[in-house]
Amino acid sequence: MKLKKQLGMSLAEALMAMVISTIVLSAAYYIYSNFQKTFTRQINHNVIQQEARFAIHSLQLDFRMAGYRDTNATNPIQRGVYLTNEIGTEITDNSEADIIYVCYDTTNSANSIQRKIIQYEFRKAKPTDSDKSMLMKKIYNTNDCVNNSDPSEPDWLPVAANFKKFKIRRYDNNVLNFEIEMEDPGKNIVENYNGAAFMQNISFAE
Amino acid sequence: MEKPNKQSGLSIVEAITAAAILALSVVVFMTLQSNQEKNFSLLRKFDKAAFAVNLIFEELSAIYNQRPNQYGEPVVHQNVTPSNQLPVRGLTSLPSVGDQFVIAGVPGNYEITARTNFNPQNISTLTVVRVDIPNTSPNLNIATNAVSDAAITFILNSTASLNPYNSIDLTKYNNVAYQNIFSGDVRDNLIKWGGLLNKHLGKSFDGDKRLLEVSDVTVTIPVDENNDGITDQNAGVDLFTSTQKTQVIFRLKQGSVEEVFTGHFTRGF
Repeated sequence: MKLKKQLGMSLAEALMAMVISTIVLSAAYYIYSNFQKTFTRQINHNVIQQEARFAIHSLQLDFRMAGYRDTNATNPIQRGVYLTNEIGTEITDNSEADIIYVCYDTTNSANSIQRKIIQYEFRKAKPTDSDKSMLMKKIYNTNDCVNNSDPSEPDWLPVAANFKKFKIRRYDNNVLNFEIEMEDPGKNIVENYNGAAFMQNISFAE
Repeated sequence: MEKPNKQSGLSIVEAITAAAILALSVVVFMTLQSNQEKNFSLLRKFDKAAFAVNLIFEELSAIYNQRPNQYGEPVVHQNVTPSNQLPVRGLTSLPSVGDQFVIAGVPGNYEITARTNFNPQNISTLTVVRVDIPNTSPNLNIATNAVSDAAITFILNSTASLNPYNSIDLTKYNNVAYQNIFSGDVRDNLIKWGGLLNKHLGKSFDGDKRLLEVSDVTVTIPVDENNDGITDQNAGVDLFTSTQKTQVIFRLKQGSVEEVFTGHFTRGF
């Protein structure tokens, strides 16, 4: 009786095919995975860069105004800028500070002068968080740049997230340098940015 | 006799060729990806360096408009009516031509065009011109009466200059011989700014640039005398005027990427 001819693969062929397919698929997965990682890293970078850009812009806007006194204001600006460490001790030289208060005159919706203190601080996003991660600010109404003129304490307002560090130094009396460190949501990337603000009104406020 | 079964799998040559092509593809891909990573990394460094350049420009602005010297506690010596002459006492040294000041109770900013030496009573008479209105205005004298003892506050000293920063090369910030060419704030800023760029961009190599160039330029700007944000017009045509500014160009080159940052600085507030 004639034997039926074998049409399928031999065991060796099948094993070889499996090995080759495994190598090809591994290479393909490696390539895909690398693309995916690069893509995710780029997105995370963009997120922290956007937060950093906004934070620096916001800080510069307020810091540049420090000490501005409206020409129609009657009270002098007693304290255009005030720096402290974490426990509230005033920093008077150019060493690093953690908290900053700037004070300047604004005009409110009734077109009258409203003097404000803006406080910036690196804080926990929620009281239950274990680490600080948010740059926040508080806006007080004031008459003298030292005391809150409203009976109630204002709320903290978030400025930017993904923070890891926020430090400020004052140079030559009218220049503020600040350093911020940002960490992406995946906690893989840490970037450091530096900014400065020239407080031109401080020359006349203090 | 039965014919032997024909071999239908890969030959060793075919298998090696296939493996080589696969390996080559992976190598090419990895090289491309590595280059892309390097480029992304360099661009990220430039992003941070751009913030550092912004910091430098902000500090140059502070240098250009430095806290003005008040020359003591100057006040108006006696009641004066509007003119271009202002007797001043309380000065510990003579102010410079080009300095600007304001007088308590009198509108306007005034620039000194000449001043007399101190008389025996330590009084100097300043010749002034009003500078907060267009210089084509018919009256550039002191705007109203100035009373005796009215405080004079200098808002600008003419001596502030960015020229010492011209051609300063921040790639040499840690070269002591280069540092010693400069003194005072210029030297301090060379070290500070150079260090900051080094932190963000890394070490500089031959051909890299971190160079400041300072020059005076005339720029054309729109006229907006009432400061309403809308360019003034004459017969429906936007008005422009020329003004002198100090221009700072910052040339930043690292490897194959080059960026040029330009800032214009105006003296005064």
